[in-house]
Amino acid sequence: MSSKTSFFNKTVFLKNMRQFWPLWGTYLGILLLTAPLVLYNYYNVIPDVSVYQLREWVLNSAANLGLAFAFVFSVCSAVAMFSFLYSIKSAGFYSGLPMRRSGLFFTQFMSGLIWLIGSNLITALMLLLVEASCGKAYFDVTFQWFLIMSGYCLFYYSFAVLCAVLTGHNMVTIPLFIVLNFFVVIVERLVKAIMSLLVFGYDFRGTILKFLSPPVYMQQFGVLSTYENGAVSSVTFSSWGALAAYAAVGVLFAFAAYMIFKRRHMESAGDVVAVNVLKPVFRVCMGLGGALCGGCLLYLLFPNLISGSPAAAISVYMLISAFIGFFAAEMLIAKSFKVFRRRRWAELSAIWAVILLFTVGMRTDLFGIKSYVPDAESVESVTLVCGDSYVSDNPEVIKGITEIQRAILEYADYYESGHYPLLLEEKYGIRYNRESDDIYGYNVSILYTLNGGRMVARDYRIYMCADELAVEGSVAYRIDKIMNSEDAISRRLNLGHDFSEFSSVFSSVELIDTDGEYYTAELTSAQLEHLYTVLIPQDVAAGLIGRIDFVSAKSDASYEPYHDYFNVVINCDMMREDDSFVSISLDIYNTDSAVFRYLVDLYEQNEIVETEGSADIVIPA
Amino acid sequence: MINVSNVVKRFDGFTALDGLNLNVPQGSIYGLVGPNGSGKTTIIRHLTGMYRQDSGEITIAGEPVYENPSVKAKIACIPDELYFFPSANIREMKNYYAGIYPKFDTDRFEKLHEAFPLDEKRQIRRFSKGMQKQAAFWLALSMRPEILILDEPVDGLDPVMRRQVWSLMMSDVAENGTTVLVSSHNLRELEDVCDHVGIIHHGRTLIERSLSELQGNIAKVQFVLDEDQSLPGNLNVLHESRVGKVRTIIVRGKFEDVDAKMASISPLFYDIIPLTLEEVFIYELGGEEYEFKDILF
Repeated sequence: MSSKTSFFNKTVFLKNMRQFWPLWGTYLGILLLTAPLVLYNYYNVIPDVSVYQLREWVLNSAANLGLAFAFVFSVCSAVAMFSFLYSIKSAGFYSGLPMRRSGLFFTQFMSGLIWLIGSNLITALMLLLVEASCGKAYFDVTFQWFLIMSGYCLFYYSFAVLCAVLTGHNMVTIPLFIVLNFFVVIVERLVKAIMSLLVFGYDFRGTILKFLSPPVYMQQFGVLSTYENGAVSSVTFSSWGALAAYAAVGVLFAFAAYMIFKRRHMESAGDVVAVNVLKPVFRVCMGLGGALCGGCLLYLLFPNLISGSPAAAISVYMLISAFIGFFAAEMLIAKSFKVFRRRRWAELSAIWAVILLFTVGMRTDLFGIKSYVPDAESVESVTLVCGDSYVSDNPEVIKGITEIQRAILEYADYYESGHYPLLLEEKYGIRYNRESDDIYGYNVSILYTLNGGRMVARDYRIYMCADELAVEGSVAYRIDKIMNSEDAISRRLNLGHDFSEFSSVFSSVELIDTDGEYYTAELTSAQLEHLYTVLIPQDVAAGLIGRIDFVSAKSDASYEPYHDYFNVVINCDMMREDDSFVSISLDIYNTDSAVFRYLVDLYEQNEIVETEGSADIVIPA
Repeated sequence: MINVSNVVKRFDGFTALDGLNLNVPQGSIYGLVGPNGSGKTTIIRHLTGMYRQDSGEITIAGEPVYENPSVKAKIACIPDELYFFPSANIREMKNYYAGIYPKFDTDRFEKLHEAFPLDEKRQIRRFSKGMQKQAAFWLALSMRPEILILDEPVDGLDPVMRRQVWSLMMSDVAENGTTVLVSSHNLRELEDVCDHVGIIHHGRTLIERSLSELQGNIAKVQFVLDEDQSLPGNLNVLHESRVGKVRTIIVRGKFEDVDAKMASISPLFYDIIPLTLEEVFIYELGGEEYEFKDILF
């Protein structure tokens, strides 16, 4: 007997269209409201909108707002199209139809996708209409808007369909979709938080796996504007390659979803996990995920409930949370509370063993993370952040910073436990006086870029006092030596540029007198050049300005007059031809400095102009 | 027509079908009976292509059912739990079926409106359970199926509508050779319409015969014996009860054989009565540790 069925069933497709039109209508309505209508308003607000402004606006609306809409409506669409899998009645009805599963899958898949893409197309046409009615229709940029939106929709919709066929429960698809979309970022944050408790100094800078959290990665997508002579010369979408890659992955997801759908047992309707082989995976993921989430949460709520080190507390909390996560998963799978069977306890024991290996291993530095200090020769450049930041590729500086790290690690127990006075006494022979000796806490952050491009980051909490700073070879002494070197200060102040390369400068000098009177003044280009090329380098070489005072509050006193005359704050932005800026921000509190004397002289001789509010841009003569 | 051979199906370690065998002849009305949890609905879901068996073979007219649209196009199924699209009315469901089932007969649909006096434009979900069942029959019969699979079909229908539905189905069988497989616990009703019966238990086939053969192979004998008389030893007695001097036994065997054996001992009185399907069901399952227990509370 011949059958009317084929790979794509028109009747099923039209039924989907009719049944779920409110969903499609909402998506289309929101797109129309946020794209053509807002563009029309934009034209009204800025009647003489330039082609570049328009391009920027159109592409940005797709790259940013469109991302959110595509994310939300793709998963809603997938749930609508595949919700028949979640009830035994509807699953029976659909699988009894004279259609192959391939035909059913393809029809359902395309029903959801066609309407998403169709809504994008209608909106793109409306954008063209608005553009045409307000002057000229820009086909290329509107087509780009359509491609961006459709790329997002293809990826997220396919991803959501994959989630939809993995489960048999309508309450699971959306949470699963959200968790998988943010999985890497969530796990990264949690692991970082736990590792920082277990490994002294552990720091984690980003991940190459960020692309596995698509919404986070896609937030970088935007518009690339190129400037010429201070004006926009071209506007393009920044991430065509990445978007195309995601769209291609979307196609793969769709294929994976089809393969699962084809083999899926319809009796799994109502099950949290519809694919049998994924049930143990779900238990393990919930166990480990529970350990990470619950461990952090419990530690946040009860940091001091378990005496001893934070490492002990987090370990116990992780074990408890793994138990809860694992058996919660089993309860969801079995749809029963009677899940405490011997075999499951054995599986949980394996998870506990992994957690203990992780926590104990990290705490005892089994993997050598804590004690790792790279060879100075293998480091290409280093950034030291303590009070301020210093980036250097000087081998001597790199070596000095590796020595700082080794010194910190040598006294790690003191820093970690907060027993700094004991460190002073036992290691430096300094008797700490609680009444007179102030202790200052600092975060020391070190970021090595190794020769191969790999990055190693560490972040330590250390303490300093004036007495330690005076001890040669101490941690405080070493840090002070590096951070207050002439090179470090010059780099912090952005010195060393050829002043003639600046096309325009913006300078603001704040003068605060002893009565607390506050003046804002501006410098001429010649005055600023004299400061930048002569006086500031001279003061830096003499160690009079730009230093970080680690053991006093001077650097925090910018707005408090602490001498007889002025507090001076200089903020300069100097712009080059290529629109890049060099900025200087400097607090002057040393009355012996040449800069201070020069500014005070200028003020007294009325040679700097007092202004209200921000200073104007001064174009060099 | 329908052939189920050694079908095994397990759900999370539970064996729902354990080597089930069924043979439904073309043009027959086959009653599938069995206790709760015996696997009736499970095998029906296999026959409609919803489930895939772990092992064994299910064919209709020699072709496998699973993933076979041409075979599934011949089948109309009315499950125990009906499904209609949310907010759909009968007319919309009819259009849907007409677009999918190649033999859907719109003329017949219109004619059947007389038999099923339902408001076509009213949402089906607003119908009572019985009305929804009528809608299901209306649509199923309009498909002109070669095979009609029914799970508790008349559950919820009033007596008049029951008779109407059975009448329509039997005329389909008579005129078009439709094969009907019906699962029901209403054995008295099945007895009136079925010509073949299969009894399944624990996912296995206990008995599968024509109804006449089934009823002719088991008999109820009521008799009165003298005090010095006893039953012949070669009778296969399944069950025995006694009220005063009148004794009743359920005996497996052909009527003629039983009659001859009873006559041989010349009892004071004896009578051989055919069993109803319900009695056959009860006494056959009695041998499978599923006997009725006279429990008083």
